[in-house]
Amino acid sequence: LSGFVQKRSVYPGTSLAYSSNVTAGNLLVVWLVWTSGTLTGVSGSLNGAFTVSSTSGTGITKCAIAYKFNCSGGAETISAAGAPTDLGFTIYEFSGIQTSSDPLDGSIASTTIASSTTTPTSASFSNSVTGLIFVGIGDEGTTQSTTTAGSGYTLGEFQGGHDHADEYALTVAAGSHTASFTLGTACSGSPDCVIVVACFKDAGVVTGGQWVGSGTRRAPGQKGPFDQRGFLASPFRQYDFTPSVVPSVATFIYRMRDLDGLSGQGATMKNPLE
Amino acid sequence: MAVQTKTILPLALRTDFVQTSPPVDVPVGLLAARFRMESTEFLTPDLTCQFQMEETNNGTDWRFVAGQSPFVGGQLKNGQPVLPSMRVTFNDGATQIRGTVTTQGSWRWALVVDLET
Repeated sequence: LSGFVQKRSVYPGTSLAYSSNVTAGNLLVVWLVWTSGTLTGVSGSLNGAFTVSSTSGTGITKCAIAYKFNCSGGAETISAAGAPTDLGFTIYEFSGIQTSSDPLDGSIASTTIASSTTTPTSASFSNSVTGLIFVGIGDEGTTQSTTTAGSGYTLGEFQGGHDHADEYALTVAAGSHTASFTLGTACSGSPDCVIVVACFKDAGVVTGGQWVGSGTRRAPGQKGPFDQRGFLASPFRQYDFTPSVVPSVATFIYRMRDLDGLSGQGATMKNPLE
Repeated sequence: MAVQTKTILPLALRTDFVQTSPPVDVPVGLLAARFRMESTEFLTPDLTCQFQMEETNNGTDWRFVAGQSPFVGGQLKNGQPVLPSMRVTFNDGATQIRGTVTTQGSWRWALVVDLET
């Protein structure tokens, strides 16, 4: 499951080193905000070119998210190329993100905040599987003394003199979401305040499979109590879950409850890959 | 948040200048450090400036932290002139930091660092 490892930010600046060596297999995310000029690329001294989103923002705020999945481990310094003016950016490392293929869930989406407000909120977005939600806000027109994360998110870095900030939420179940910030000073209205969102898939999320063995079989994703009649009469009883796709690292999320609806006791799970 | 400000290069007229500041001890719980110039003069359009920040854990092995793209004198943001500065956040065990300033053009300034804890 996704986890936070480290972060750091600089303003203004075009290069920034991670405080500690990054760990192989992790996800590196960069949130960049600038005023004008073109960002032509983002790269790491160790990991090379990053995937960079299209530039968002049509006013004095330009911003983008860059990322590298399944990174190599070691000392890493991130550099921004091109001629972005007044650039500030934040670097992140997250663990537990899908490594087998690009973990970006959907596309990176931006919202231009329509009018001045202290609670800018993104448009609705969705993730298809459990994962990380990363959110950045840029507002070059306003200096902030305080910024707090929206409900359900953890505030990351905050450069109030710029202004850029970011927040994230780990292991968020698939569904529809929004993201917001609470600002000390009302942000600029359109087009200068922009929120950008990227969703990344957690590693080892099983998206299909079926229950087999004794008990009542359930279709993938089907809710409802597993037929446990006679369960309590036996000191040990085993049910096997066979996923349709077996990832290299698997984490099974399951819930057991008694027929009376209370939480079950003593439930254990054996990962068949161990 | 508390901010402790230290002047590490005194006010002087500097022309085509490259100098690394003395090491600055990192206070416990350092959240961010901002190297910045202080000046009583208005920026001149012919001034360019660049910062670099380094850190060490043992006082001898200095490690690159961050670098600033060339600052152009007279640069405006929201209609106001911008004094050169660079702010970097910290979350590790650095014991000392230092900054290197490179300028082209003649300008009278001092270098200070704000330590945010």
